[in-house]
Amino acid sequence: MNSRLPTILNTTYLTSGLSRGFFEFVTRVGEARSKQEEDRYVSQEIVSLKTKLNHPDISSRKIRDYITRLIYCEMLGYNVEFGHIHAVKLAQSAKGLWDKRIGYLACSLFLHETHELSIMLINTLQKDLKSSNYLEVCAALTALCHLLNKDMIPAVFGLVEEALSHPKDIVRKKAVMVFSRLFHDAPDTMIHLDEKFRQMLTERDPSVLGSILCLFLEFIKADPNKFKDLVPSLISILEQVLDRWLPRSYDYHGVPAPWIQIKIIENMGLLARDDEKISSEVGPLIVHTLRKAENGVDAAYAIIFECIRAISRLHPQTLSTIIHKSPNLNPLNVITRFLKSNNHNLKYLGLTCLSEIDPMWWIEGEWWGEEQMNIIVDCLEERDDTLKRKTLDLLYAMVNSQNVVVVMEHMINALRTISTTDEFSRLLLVNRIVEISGKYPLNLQNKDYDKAVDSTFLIISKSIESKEKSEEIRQYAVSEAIKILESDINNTTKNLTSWALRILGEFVKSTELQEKIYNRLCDLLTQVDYEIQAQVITTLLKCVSKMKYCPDNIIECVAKCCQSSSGDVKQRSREFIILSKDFVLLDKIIKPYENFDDFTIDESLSFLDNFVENALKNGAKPYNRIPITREDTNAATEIRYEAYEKPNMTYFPKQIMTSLPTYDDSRLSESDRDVLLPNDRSNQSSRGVGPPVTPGQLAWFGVTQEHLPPENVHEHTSLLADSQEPNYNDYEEIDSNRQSVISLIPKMKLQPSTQSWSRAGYKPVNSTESDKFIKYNTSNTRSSLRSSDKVLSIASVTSKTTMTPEKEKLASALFSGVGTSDPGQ
Amino acid sequence: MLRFFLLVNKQGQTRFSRYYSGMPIQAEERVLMEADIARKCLKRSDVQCSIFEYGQYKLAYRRYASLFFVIGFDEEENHLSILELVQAYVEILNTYFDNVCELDIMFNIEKVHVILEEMVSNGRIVETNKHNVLAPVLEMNKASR
Repeated sequence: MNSRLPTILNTTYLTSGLSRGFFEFVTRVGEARSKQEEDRYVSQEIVSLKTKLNHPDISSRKIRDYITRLIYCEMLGYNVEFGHIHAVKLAQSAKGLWDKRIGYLACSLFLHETHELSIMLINTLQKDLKSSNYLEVCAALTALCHLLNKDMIPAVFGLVEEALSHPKDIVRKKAVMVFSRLFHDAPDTMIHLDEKFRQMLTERDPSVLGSILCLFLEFIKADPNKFKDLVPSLISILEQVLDRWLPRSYDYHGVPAPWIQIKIIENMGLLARDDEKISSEVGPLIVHTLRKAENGVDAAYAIIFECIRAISRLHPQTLSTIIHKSPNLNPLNVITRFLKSNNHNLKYLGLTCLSEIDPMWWIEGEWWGEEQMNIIVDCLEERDDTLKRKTLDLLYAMVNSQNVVVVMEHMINALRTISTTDEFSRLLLVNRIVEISGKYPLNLQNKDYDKAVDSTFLIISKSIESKEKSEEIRQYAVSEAIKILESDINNTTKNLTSWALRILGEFVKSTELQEKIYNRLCDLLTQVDYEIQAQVITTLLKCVSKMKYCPDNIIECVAKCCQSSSGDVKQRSREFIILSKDFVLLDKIIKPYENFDDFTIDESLSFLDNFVENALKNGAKPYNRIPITREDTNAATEIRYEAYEKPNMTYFPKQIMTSLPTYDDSRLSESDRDVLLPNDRSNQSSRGVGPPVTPGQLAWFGVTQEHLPPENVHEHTSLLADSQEPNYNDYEEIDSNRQSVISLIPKMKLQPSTQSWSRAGYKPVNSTESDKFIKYNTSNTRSSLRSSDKVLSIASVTSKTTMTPEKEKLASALFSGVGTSDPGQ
Repeated sequence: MLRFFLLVNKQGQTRFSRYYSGMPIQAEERVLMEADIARKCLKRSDVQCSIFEYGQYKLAYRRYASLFFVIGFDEEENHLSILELVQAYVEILNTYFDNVCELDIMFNIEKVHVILEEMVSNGRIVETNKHNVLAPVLEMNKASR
């Protein structure tokens, strides 16, 4: 803030009419550079105020000044309890109106309902409520809204009731608000006033309108049926407001009394719920209000939102009439406009509107489609976390048995990324996930099962709320797992058993491990099939690592598994035998679940590089990947720009490709016609020979030299220089550092006459060509692919456009089944 | 219903705060919460939504010069009407103080409270008509002279 010197001549100081002390205090505190400085000033001030306030004879004005300073201190979080009594005294003995008002204000801020000092105020309140000066009555009524408690009610009730008929509208307004507060505490006392309130509503005094509508909102929420007769009144009031019968001062940015409109619509929506007659009366008016509000002003959007909320509460019959009237006039079209706008607030509004409306209505009226779905999917990935959360809410609202898997996936992802301090949203999300998974128990396939298990782990391992709670959960989970394992194993599904084993292994504490658990696990080893056996062994390993001690019978049981015919089980049991003797090593290996996200797998096994180096130094032979020996290594590895000669050999159908060439990253060659197999310099061959096993091979088989004019070669290399990753979904998957295996196939040239490859093995070939391990450029592949008619054109395979198809897939997955007969939540 | 109304500046200092019933909060917690809210508001860019979630409440905020006007409310309230309330409130303050600035609010904190009391009561929006809101305040000023 601009710091201005606290001089006497400062305009703000002069016009505020404040004392010097106040001014200085506020300036100093406001300009304090650090919390400690502020602390110092405020504490000093509090001490001085204490003494000043205790002086017997000070003017009302001065007390007001001090109390205001106390309000300030209290706001900053300091304790000003000594000042409470002074505030009460101020309200009592104030001479001027402002003094009184501020006294009441201070009481409202300092005292809460059950405070003892509020009793002292009763007398003052009574006096003021009877006062002839309406401003004093107002002050008292305002304070009552905050301070009303059970003891006060009998004392002031009558007076407040009288205030309902006060000549001044402000007083009436405030009295109504006091009753709205009273409704929460003691609704029975107000029953006889029902008539009075209805009368006030129909009088349509505009200034009371705001508060009386609030009051009725409370009433209607509690018991809608009693107030259904108010509908005609509400309708006519709304119509009048829309026709601009209210005085100009009620207009806000061109919209006539927006807050009043909103309140009326809210009331109508609540009354119309599940009631067809009222819905039909009220529906058209709401649509009309919506139309009138479409003038692009912010306040109007608030009205539109409330209209849509009310529409969603209408009886289905009316709703379908409204929607089907004509596609252009469908009021829900505004939602699409909101979603499409760039303004985040409007997008948020669109999403919120959507979540209010039952998905069933999305399909009806055909205003909903892929387009909107795509927008929603985009919102899922927005950086703005409010939009993301709202979209998640939306997904939750539209979940049904068909898209539940996708929705769950997203929710679980969101759970991972929400920070651990945001307890409330985590709880909400977890509750929702649990609810959905309970409602739509599918036969989860393995992939989904894994995700579900992951989510359980996540929930258990990340601490929720307090330590005790997460401990409770852990114990519960472990005991459930043990129960499952102890029951008849044939009765439980595989998934469940496997889940129980994993939970047991991860979360059981060493103090809970008992003999019988071990025995049970050993028994299981003999009863179950391979997959579960593997898991049992791992679970045993984890238990043993926690116990740091391995009973002999376990080792015996596991040793039996070493003879198993399943490779996995054999491996695990052998590891077990070794590791169970070495607990230090075991500790390093078994990590608790919290670190799961840090798990990375180093596929190139780079951590073994040292080991390999050492071994090589000591004379070990390097790994020879393919034992194809080539004698001549003077291969021409440069790029060759001319086309090769046409093949002039006849085709020998017996050519079989016996081995797919491997490749070596370091030998990347730019050549587009590099030879893989040695003597094939000149040939391109074949048509569909041998076992055409992959689409790539097929593609290759379609290629002949004729199809490929030499000039194309250059084009292709340049075109695709940037994109390194061929993205052929139909082809084998390879990681991005290596070329698709299939891409190598076109390079194979078979030299029919001199070849004698057989399935049995490789034969050394006297070749003029080089190179064993060659990596091929994508360009080559593409050129060959392009010429084949079985393959997609390149344009569709570049990496950039894969985003939208994915998103479209997601959108259609989410959209599937929306609005079907699934019962709502 | 509204839970609280807060004005914080860019340095995180609270300039004005009003809490409505049903918001049980101690002084120290309050200060921490206000600082936290100020931080969250500062972190958000201008393009992002003006509404975000904070624990069990939703917050609507608007920035005017160096001050953030933040209102915390319940799920069920119409969030746009709350945003408009902020705007209406600022306009009314503007009329009363003639080009209101942060200092005006600091030096006239009791008046700011009273104006808000006229508009919001029990956590509900009661009056937004500029004339109606300022009438009693101006009356009181006249009577005090």
